[in-house]
Amino acid sequence: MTGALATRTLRLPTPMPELTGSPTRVADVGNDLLALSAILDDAATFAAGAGRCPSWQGAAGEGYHRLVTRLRRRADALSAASRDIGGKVLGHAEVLAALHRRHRDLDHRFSALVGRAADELTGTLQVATGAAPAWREAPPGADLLASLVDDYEADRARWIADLREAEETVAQAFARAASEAGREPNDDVPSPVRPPHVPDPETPPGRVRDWWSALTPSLRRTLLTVSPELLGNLDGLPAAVRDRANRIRLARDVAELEAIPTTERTREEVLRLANALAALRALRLTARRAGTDPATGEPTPTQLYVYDPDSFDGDGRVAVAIGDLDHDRNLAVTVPGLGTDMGSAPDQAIKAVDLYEEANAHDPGTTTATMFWIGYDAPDGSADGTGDGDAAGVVDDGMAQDGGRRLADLVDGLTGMRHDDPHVTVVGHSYGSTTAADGAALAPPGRIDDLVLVGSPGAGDGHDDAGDLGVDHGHVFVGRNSADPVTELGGHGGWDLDSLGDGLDHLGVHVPHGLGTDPASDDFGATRFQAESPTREAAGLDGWRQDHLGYFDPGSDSLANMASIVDGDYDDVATAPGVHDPALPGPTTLPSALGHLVHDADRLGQDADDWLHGHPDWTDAADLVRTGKDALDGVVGGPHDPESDRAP
Amino acid sequence: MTSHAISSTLRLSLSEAATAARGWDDQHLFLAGGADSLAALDAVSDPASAIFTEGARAPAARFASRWRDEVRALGRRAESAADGVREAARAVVGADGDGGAACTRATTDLERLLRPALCPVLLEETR
Repeated sequence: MTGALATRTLRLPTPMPELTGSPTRVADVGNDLLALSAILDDAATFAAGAGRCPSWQGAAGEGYHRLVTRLRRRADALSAASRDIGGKVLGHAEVLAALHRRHRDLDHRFSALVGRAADELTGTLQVATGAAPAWREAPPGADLLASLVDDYEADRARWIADLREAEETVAQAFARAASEAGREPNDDVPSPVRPPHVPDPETPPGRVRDWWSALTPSLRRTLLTVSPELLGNLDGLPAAVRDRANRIRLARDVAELEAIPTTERTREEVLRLANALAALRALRLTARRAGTDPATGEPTPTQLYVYDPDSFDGDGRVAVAIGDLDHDRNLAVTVPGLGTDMGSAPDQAIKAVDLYEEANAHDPGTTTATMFWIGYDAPDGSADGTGDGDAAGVVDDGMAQDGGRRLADLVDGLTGMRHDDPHVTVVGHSYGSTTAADGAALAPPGRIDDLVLVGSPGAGDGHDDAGDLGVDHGHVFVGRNSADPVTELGGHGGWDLDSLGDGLDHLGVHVPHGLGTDPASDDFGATRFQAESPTREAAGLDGWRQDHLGYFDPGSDSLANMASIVDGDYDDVATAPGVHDPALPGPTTLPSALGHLVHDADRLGQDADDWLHGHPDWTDAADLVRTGKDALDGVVGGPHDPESDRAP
Repeated sequence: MTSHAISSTLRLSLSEAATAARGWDDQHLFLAGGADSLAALDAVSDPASAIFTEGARAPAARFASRWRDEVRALGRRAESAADGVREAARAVVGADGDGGAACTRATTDLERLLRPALCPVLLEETR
């Protein structure tokens, strides 16, 4: 019996070597290097821009320019190398984390194998001493143990080899970078390595919010400095983060583009610079007009929530908020219409500030933020003569529908970034009201609390009733100045609107038509509020623009009512009794307004005829004027004296 | 933009100079200060730190130390650029008469100025 014991061999596993190194701290090193790369980038950008001091001439100036040129190249090279080595170090952190996980697994296997070997040894000793039956002499577990130890030893050897390889790889990268740092730079800048992972723009806002919350402060800082363009317009990020990213990007755009000599800028660069400067003007204007918060004495916050100077073939996208989108109770988004692009940002900023001031004055006990949103490709409303410009977009709501989808995403992002449930109002003006209606219908339920449509040419295809717009019953509000001719374009009456639109188009005055039902019409089901022009009379071509554009004017009924809605104080909204205004003549003011238009068109036609009399080659232009005038005549039954429309 | 000249060998726009001097001061701060404030990178410079595994520790420490020196050197170049612009501006302003001399004295008092403009002339031009 004991002879068998003498032949037994028990193989014991080799313990795992100690593993030092911290994947988290290694990742911090990688992120520090990426942050350093951004600092170096800024230095290079400054050296290429405002730091050049190009007016400095003479011998000393030449020396200075050489210094700055060398400094820029050096900063560029070190920045690229920092980015390169930073990426490699981040990669090494992931490898090291995997090695740690494997180390833990192997350590557990080692402990288990030692325990199993102890059992085997105990069993064998019990057999040898007669304390256990003889069949334990050759327990089947002995072979299994040997096999498990072999597997473990092989995995342990592989792990050690992988650790050595990882160390060697990162050590070589460090050595190469340190060696290259000693060389004076040339223009061959290494290409950057992968940026840190940022969620795709299609990622649901809630998931983006959670992703950002889980990042370390160091990584957040790195991402903001290295990849602001990936963060600035990412729905779900806090507005304060987007604002910071967009301001970094804006500052870099201005510095880089202004550094390019004017004569060497491409068309894209010219457009991008113009858009960047418009955004800058809007930000400054907003901050100046918003002033200080009376409660805190601090400057009223402004937030650059969207900044994308390249989109829509150079029209660009921008949104600036007054107030704190992350924390204020009420949020209002204004959606402008025809002719808006990034260059309109300063004008839209004024409207948003006026609404902000009115809303906060109306209810100072509740915080309110307002934001103008130029975020879709609006028809440009200008006649470019090519026939293929944006102006064609006014004849239907295709661009509004596309804008509506974008608006729905925006609102989803605004609410998805917060943990509470803010009161959200969308205010659409003109063609923007059609976009707002489309956006409300497409937004996830509950995202938009109140929808306000002012100066609306129509609520969009398929929206014949306020109930089609996705907000709760009683929460669609319409402001319609009876003297605003654009509001006559919504389908609700017997006017020949296609002829009217065509006629105005021929005159070079592009207005929307064919955009659906007039939301102010009596049977649409919205709540109409007082929004009349203070003058309460139509004023012809010179005045109809004001009648259409005055809804945000300080002191107007319209602005006061919109502010009440934004505050959620519905009892303070002064309602209007249907689309017909008894203070003005006729079922609507269309004859009066168009009377002025026709009168003006007549005058234009006579002037044109006089001028064309001396220019017989311009017959096409003469035809154009006559066509426009005839179209208007067809709508209202021929030219007449607008004075005859006035109420006594 | 007004360009000032004190001789045929020196022409310089003071508004450009003010912008450049302040900007280079900033870059000096960012580069010199930034390199030191990156805590994780700083810790690697210590060969005894256990951030990296033993086989990578020494190369990482050498690299981090070298990298900090490089960035600091770049910061010193930025400081030189700021000083150069400031000197040139001072020469231009000093040649503009008594007001210029007063500005030069004010500039001397703010020798290490980081934010204020060089003098009223520059302030006026940068508004």
